[in-house]
Amino acid sequence: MTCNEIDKLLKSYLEGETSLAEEKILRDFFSRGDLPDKYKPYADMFRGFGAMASVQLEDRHFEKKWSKKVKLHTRHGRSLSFFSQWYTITGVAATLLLAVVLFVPVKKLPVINLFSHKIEDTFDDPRQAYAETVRALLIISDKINAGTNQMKDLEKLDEGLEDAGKMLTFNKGLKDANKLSKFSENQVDHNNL
Amino acid sequence: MTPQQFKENILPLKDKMYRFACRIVEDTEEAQDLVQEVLVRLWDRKGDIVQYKSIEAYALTMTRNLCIDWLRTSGRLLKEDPAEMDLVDPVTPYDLTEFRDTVSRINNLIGHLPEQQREILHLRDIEGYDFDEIASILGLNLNVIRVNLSRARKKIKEQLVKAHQYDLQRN
Repeated sequence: MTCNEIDKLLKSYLEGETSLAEEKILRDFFSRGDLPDKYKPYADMFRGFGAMASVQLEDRHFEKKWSKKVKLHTRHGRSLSFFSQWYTITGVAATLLLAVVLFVPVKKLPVINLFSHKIEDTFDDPRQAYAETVRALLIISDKINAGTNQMKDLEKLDEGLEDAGKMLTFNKGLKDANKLSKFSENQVDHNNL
Repeated sequence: MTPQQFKENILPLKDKMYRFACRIVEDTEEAQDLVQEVLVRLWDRKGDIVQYKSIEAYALTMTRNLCIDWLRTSGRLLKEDPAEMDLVDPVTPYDLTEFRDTVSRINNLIGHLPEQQREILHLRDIEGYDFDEIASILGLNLNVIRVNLSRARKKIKEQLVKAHQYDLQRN
């Protein structure tokens, strides 16, 4: 390549109008050792760019460090999402509780206080207390049995309903028999004719 | 995207991301941390990133955004709109001679460019992206990219010519 051609290319280069291929021609040209003095600044420029393009991230442990960072980041990511879920759940629960406390009238809330009054024995003699307890339980069991006796009437009702079902089938049979009798009457009339 | 695909396709971008982060935050250690953070975020989105037209462009956009966030929170972000800024204060040849290494010299010159020009020049002349990719990474239109790239290149060239003339006079 002649110096004239190089000068033209340099002019385009300074205007930002050269292609990557043309810039490669310039880089190759200026990498030569035997250059006229006027090209010295350009030679420095292209060599400088070339040298800077070869700069590398010189850290042997870069990939290891990155790998550690990724693992740590992932772990944190998971734990954060776990906590954020809990924050959501507890947040909703707290809001509901607050809503109940604020909007439900205090009087309607059942207040159970087991320690409001002292529980006192009503019998001095434990045997008497035992006998009274047995008597009370017998009364309760009697009442329960009386309730179950009434359930027997319900069983009878069920049986009655079953019989009623049978009657329905019988009624259907009667209707069919009626149809047959009508058919027989028609036959007789037909014969008479 | 599977973890294996992520390791094969995304992790190798770390150098490009690192260089871009260094260009923006001008702090190598911080740039490393930021790249780690970007890769962790990309890992989180590994299921979705396949839908992007260019994962590389997406990774660099994310790097840039995170770097800018960091600059903002650390109070290092310039308050002026970079697009409105004048070109850098000229670096005197005397200053330039302090940089014996060509790379340091060029790096310093790029570092003095306005933010937008700096990013565009980096993505084009160092990383070799085409204009469409740069537009996608930076969210700019092609005309803005060309204009800023031209300004940045001319500025670097001017400074290097000055430094070269100074070197010639000195010798």
